[in-house]
This record gives sequence, structure tokens and C-alpha cells, in this order.
Amino acid sequence: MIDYFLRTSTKSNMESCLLAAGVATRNASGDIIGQWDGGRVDIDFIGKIYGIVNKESVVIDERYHANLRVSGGNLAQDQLDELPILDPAPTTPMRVFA
Amino acid sequence: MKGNSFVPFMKRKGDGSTLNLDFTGGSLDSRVVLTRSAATATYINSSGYVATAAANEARFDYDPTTLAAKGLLIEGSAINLLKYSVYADINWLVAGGYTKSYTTGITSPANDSTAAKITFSAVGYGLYTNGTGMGYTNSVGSVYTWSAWIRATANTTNSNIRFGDSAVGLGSNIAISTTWTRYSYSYTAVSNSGPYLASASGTATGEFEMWGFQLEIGTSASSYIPATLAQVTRNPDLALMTSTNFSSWFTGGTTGTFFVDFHGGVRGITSTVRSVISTSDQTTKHLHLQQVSAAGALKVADFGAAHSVSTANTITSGARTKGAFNFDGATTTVNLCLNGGTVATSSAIAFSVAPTWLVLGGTSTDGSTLTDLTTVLNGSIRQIKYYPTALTSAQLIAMST
Repeated sequence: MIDYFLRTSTKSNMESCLLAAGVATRNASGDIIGQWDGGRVDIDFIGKIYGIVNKESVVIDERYHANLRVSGGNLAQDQLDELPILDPAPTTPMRVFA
Repeated sequence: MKGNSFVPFMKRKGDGSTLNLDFTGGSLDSRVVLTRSAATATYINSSGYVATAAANEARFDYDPTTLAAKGLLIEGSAINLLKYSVYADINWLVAGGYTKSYTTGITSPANDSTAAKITFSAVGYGLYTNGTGMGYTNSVGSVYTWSAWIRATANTTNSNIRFGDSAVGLGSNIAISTTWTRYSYSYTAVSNSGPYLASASGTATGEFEMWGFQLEIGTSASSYIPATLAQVTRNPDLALMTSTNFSSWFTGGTTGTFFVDFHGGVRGITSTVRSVISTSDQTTKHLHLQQVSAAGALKVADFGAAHSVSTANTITSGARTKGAFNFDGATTTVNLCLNGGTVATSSAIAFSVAPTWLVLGGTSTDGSTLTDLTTVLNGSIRQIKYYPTALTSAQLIAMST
């Protein structure tokens, strides 16, 4: 099981990257959901990142963020190349998987 | 060999059923493959404590008070928006002039020492937080539910707490029990909403032990999601029976009967529909037993819900529920019964091709993925039975009573 922190400029771009990487599909309702033949993927769409500055909640990153968990297998390099993976991963992420 | 053990080529049990999954014994039949890619998820164990399950480990839930088995817990995804969930210190603010007074190391509902004792020395003293404190933004107009385990330890005549929304101060005065109880409050968010609790009655000091603070989107609390430095996402459960794990017992083609004994889901987020069981979510192969809403009717729908049948009687939210339906693809007939009530009938259900998988508490279009994240049961299944023949309406009533 491995977690990836993803970031793009927009939600639309994030969805395109996930589809291009072959780890997501669009369901009958039009929603993007995790789907991968090699195992299980879970996607947590987050959006902007908020943080506390001077005791106020403020947007600290306007870009679009998502967390991706891959389990039961490993993504191929060409799939990883399609994903906008934050490298290095954030040291204090706003949200993580259980 | 006993119980649900798989017997190859065995066709029927004594009552004619070829499948009898009983989850109240706390074990998962090997034909059910459950996945949940969360390193930890919680449930109430048979001793009444909050316990953690590893990734892909089935959770068998119990009533924390009566210890009655509730069956296999199947939940959708949820996020605990609160950090440091074990006690309300970091990121929590004081209300009513209260100065924080608490001790840690208290025995918790998880039977460890992570709870805190909080002392309120006057009415109105309390704690609150919101998006500003926790670093999230309220989705204005969405319903949030916040929950916590609390018990009163002193001055039980002064043990009322007001649970509410920090932005509008509303909420309910709750008489806190002296035993660990999970309390919750749901509110429709305004911009600066957030959890709020305060001493609400009496003039003497009130002492409360607290643990397991959780704020999530939805109309009721899901299982506890421990959090520390960050918000935490619990991924959904997916319970599937495919391939020979399905075909070995689903032997009636487009004719048969299902019976399900379950605790209905109550936590609607983007959909109020809650899936109980469903066969292949593909045209002409789909039978979807579902709870229409938190306290709604029981329903069977075909692919795309083009046709459906619903019971006249309704489910009591979260209560033990029994539903049974028969189906005959040749006549497109489904008869459905909830808790022994009047049998509802449709003669337009399109089910002409035998399916190849069953999903417990969800739906799947491909037999490997949960394809509608919004309708997961958010409840627990005690038992599922299947008969390869269409039982009579009288039998549906009898088995669901």
C-alpha cells in the first residue's frame, strides 16, 4: 500500500491526469472514481489547501490537490509519469488516509 | 464441516437455500472478498469497546450497550475534519469565560488511556472549534455531524451538556450518562460553523470524560476515525462475491429469492439511497435492494432504476430490518416484503440475464470496483440467504417477520 499526494492547477486537470494514468474512470453519474485492473485505488479529492496563519484559516495553496492510495499492486512507471505527484511529499499534509 | 463452510457442488441446505451468510458469529465466509484500503478503521467489538481493524479486515460491529451482534459493517468513505481527536485541546477555543481544565490518561471507550477529563466550573463554560481553528472551510449549506464519546463522572445532577454549532449557538441540552456514550449533533453549516459543547445546567462543577471527537459531512456519525496531526480519510468497504464464489450458489438463473437481515444505513451524504445488496450493475442483470432514505421504504430496482418496486411500510432508521424479495425474469415480476408487511409487486423489472456477481452494501458495474461511492450501506448486514426458486409471498412475509 502506497500513498501519493497529487497537485494540479485545476480539478479538471487532476481528473485528466488520473484518467490518463489508468487509475480512474467516470461512472454513470459522471463522477471520477478510482479503478485499476492491477489492484485497488482510492482517491480523496481535496481541492485547495487551508492552513492556520495568525490563528486564522487561510488558503495557503490555491491549486487543486488529491490523495491517491494504491494497494494490492504497484503502478507502472508510465502510469506514475502521468500523475502529478508532489515530490517531496508534504511533511505536514492537511489530510491523510487512515 | 459446519456453518457457512463451502461445500463444492452442494446444492441446497435444509430449507432450500443455497447461500446462508450469517455474520453475527464474527467471521467472514471465504467466498466474500472484502477490501478497504485503510490502514485502520474502527468498530465496536464484542466487548463493547472501540476497536481497530487493519486494511481489508472485516469489521463485525456490536451494540455498545447490549453487546448484540449487528453483523458485517459496510461503510462509505468519510473524513474526520477534526485533528487531535482524542481530546479537545489543540485547536479548540474556550467559551463563556472558561479556562481549560483537564487531565489526561483517562480510560477511554477503546479501553486504553487516551481519554481526558474536562471540568466545567460554571454554566456556559465550554469548548468550540470551527474551520478557522481546524484549517478547513465549511461547505455552506451542507449538513455536518459532530460526535464525541462523553460520560459524566461527578455531580451527575449537573451533567447536562449543550451540543451545538459554534456559529449559531443552537443545539440540544443532553443529559450525559455516567457510562461512555457517543453523542452527536447535526447542523447545516454557515461560514464559520463548528462543533460546540458547554456545561448547560446546574451551578456546581461538572466533570466530564471525553474522547473521540469527530466532525464529518453527513446526517449522522459514521464509525470513529482517529486523527492527530491531519484530517483523516477512511476509505469505503467493498464486499464482493464473484466467479465461483457466486456461481456456486446462484443457481436459479433469473429466478430466485433473497433474504437480508440488516441494520439500515442512516448516514446520507450526496444520496439518501443506501444499497443493501445488488447483483451485477449491468443492463438486464441488475437487482438492487436498497433503502430509499434514512427512514424510507425498502426498494428493488433494475438497471438504471428504470423500473422499481417499493414497500408501503418503512424502515426505522438504524434499526434491525428484514427484507425479502423474489424475482422471476421470465415474467419480469418482483415481490418485495419489509419486516413482514404488505408485499409490494412489480411486473416490469428487467432481469432477463443471470448476473455474475453480488455486492454486499454497494454496487459495481465491473465486478471489481465500487462504482457508486454515494450509496454504500453505511450500516451492517447480519445475514443473507438465497434460494434458487421464487418463494411465495406468504413465505416472504414469514421470513421477514
